[in-house]
Amino acid sequence: MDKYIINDDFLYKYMKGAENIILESLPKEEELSYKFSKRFKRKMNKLIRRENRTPFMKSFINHSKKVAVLFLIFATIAFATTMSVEAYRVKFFEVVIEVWEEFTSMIFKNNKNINDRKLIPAVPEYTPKGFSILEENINDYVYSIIYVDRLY
Amino acid sequence: MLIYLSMIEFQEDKSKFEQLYITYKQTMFYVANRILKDEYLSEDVVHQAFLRIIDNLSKIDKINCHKTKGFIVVIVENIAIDSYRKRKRENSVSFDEVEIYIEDVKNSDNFILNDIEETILKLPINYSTVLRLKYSQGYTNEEISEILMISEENVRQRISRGKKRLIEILAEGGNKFYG
Repeated sequence: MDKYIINDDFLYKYMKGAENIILESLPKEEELSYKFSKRFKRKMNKLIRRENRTPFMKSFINHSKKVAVLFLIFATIAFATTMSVEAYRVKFFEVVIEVWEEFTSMIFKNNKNINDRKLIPAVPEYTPKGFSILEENINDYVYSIIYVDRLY
Repeated sequence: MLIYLSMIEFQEDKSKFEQLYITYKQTMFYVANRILKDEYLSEDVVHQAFLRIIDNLSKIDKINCHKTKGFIVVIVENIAIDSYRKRKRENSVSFDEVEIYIEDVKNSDNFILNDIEETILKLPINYSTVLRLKYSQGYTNEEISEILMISEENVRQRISRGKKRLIEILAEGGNKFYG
């Protein structure tokens, strides 16, 4: 019958041998031929690509993420403020600018000049430099002017 | 000069992680599947193990050595047992109650084991992993807690319970022991 004292010295003495047996019992890498799924390969390739980035790129991407989060927070706060303060909200909704590929459309909505369902238009005081009036229309609800530039 | 140095660092890191993947992916899958007996889950475990390896890349010096292989096997075993526990009944079984053994080592005739080594191999993997990291690979409790992502208190607890279990197993074999 043997006597053993289970303390750190005992474990330092025998654990290495036990671990070697565990590792030696494993088949060699080249003897194994499991075919990994496409899903696994895809995930690993992504991981390897991520790890292959330079330290500079890694820190740049990390910082970019932080900046994006901060920007998102700022944009959310700004939008919430605009929507909660009536004066800003009115401005935001009243002026709609639609920029198209070939022309710019500016639509102003105004409730002040309504008189007996007859529109009293707010007419622009001058024609923008380099433009001339092509068409001018007015009805009970809409007053529109189409400007063209000289290149047109 | 700085650019040159960063390029060297980049090349070294690149080869280290990729080489680990090339060198050990089959072994890692084998170790995970030996515990889980499920190829789909085992692939997930291997992927998670590589994520864990990235966090501990600085602890690996050489690619092809016993220490690195042991380190990687411990990580895979640890994650596989965690996955096994989750699959078994979500959180109803505590980690320490999960007793999975390395059956194919114990059943192998290829190794002549002394009493002590045989006793150590009878330890459940969850104790064996911590003891191997500490007493075979020489990591501190703090490093083990980083590698296994558990608290240092938990590391100490597992070492203590692992020792107790060793004493119990030795006692079962009719040996006298002292804690």
